[in-house]
Amino acid sequence: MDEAKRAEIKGHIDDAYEVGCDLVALGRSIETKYIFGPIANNEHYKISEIMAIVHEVNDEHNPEA
Amino acid sequence: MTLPSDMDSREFSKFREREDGQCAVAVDLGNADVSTGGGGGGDATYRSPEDFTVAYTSAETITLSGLPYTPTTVQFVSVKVQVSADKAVTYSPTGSAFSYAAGVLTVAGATFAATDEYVVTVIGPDKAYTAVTTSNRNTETDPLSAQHTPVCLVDTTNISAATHYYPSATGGTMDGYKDISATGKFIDADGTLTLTLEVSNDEDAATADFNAIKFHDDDSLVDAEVASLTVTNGTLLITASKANLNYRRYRWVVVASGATNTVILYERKKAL
Repeated sequence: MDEAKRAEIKGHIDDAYEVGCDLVALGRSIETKYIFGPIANNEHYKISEIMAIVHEVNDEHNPEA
Repeated sequence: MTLPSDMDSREFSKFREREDGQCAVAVDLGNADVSTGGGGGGDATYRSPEDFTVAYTSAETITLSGLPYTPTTVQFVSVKVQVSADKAVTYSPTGSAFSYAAGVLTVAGATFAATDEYVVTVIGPDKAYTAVTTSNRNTETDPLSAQHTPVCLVDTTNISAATHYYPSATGGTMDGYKDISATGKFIDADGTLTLTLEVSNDEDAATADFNAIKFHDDDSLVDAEVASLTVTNGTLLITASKANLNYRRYRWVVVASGATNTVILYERKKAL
């Protein structure tokens, strides 16, 4: 996953993020949407990499946590 | 019991025959009368640095840590201090006042130094006997129940359109293990991923003939012996196991029809 793709994924996670949401469910949802659509088709990314971005987004929304 | 000719009656009185026929010995420690060898007849002597650690605190105090019980003052036997390479000083309760509280042993009149090395001897509960339950303790080193190996076989995306073997083409060993299981996930949006299990008893792993065997699909919706697990254009969660895999070597085989996929396999082997 290059930096451009990472930024793209982060944007999608940020769009879907809601305060207090289930982070694992959010990560899996993004993973699925990249494989089966509608974000992309057949793009596979490790869930651990996606979850790292999810937590990054979560931290940005909860700077005091 | 036979009294040795060189032992007088006073010394003989130190030996006591217990109801179970074992021998207990009363040891005069000066200001303490502690029986050792009772219960299971095991070792009741705790000694630093093997059984616990001792640290210098002040000229008359040292701090004990790591003892498996809380001793009382009367249980201390001696404090040997190695003050230099060729000189040691030993303090005993008969010559110095010992007092112990909250992990700190005070020896009146001692001249401990920070560079000293200590051998502290203290009597405690029998190491192999539990008086409360009147039972002997047995400790098994490296018990079978603790022999299990969890390992990540593969956690990646886009393995090539080919046959892949985990942990390797020559297989993993089952020596020392009995059961095996694997969990994970296959995702393939435009093709097929297939999982099988192969085994061999061949002594030469490089030329071994591996043959596929059935394993158990533990998925609650399946719960049956299967020859393979397959997913086509979808996602498959894997919960596979094989009890009593009595073969020398094994390998999980993943066949990918395409090169865009997600393959995750975590394995656990156990001896009991």
